[in-house]
Amino acid sequence: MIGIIVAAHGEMSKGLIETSRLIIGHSENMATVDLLEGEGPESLRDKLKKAVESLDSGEGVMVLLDLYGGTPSNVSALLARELNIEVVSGVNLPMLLEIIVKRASKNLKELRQVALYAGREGIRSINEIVEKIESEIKERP
Amino acid sequence: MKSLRRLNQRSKRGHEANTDRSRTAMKHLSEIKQTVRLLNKVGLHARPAAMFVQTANTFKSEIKVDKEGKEVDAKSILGILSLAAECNDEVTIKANGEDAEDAIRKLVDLVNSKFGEE
Repeated sequence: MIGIIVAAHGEMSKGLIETSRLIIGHSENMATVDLLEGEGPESLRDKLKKAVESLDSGEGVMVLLDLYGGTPSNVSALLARELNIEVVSGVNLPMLLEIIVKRASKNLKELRQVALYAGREGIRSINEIVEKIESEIKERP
Repeated sequence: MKSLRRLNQRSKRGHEANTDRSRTAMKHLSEIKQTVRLLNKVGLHARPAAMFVQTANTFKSEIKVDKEGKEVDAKSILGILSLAAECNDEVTIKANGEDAEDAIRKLVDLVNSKFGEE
């Protein structure tokens, strides 16, 4: 099974994984990697590498990051050269949920596309949607 | 001559029978669908949607869900949530592929079981 790591600043990763369990239930082969206050890139690199190695059963690991350009992003860019990982930034709940439910039927490269699509599709203006529905109702004869 | 004609007719009949069989086989591979009413209190909200999508993902068939003409991928949580299907809404589950019948049966059972909510 493809592994999933959420790597982020502070305790965001734990929150996301716990929330995903609330909705989907328990899921195997997932881990969090936190960048704590005052922690440097070397320490984060070691933690991330260990997490990837413990989760990679041969099919690779999806690494979902909080912030493009931040330390987790820089560290995983380097690790992507030596480990079988796909790294996507801007993790949100829709992205994580979709990756969890689709990882059994997709390979690592396909999951990259799933993550990008789900992350973007999950961002909507609710006001815009409500306004559109209201204007459609008004236009009806 | 007569027997040859008869043989010819028989072979034609045989051919037609084969064609019919292949049609049946093709029919088997074509889309099957079933409409169900959502009976659980919250409809296809986060948890039931996740259960539905996880079940759909265990099948190889292409599976779609249609609500009032809006069709979404049954294997996507985002897709199912975007239907905003509530209690008493009717949805049509469509499946296409080798395990389509099994998929429809399992998904319909899940909906009828009210997702174990009550």
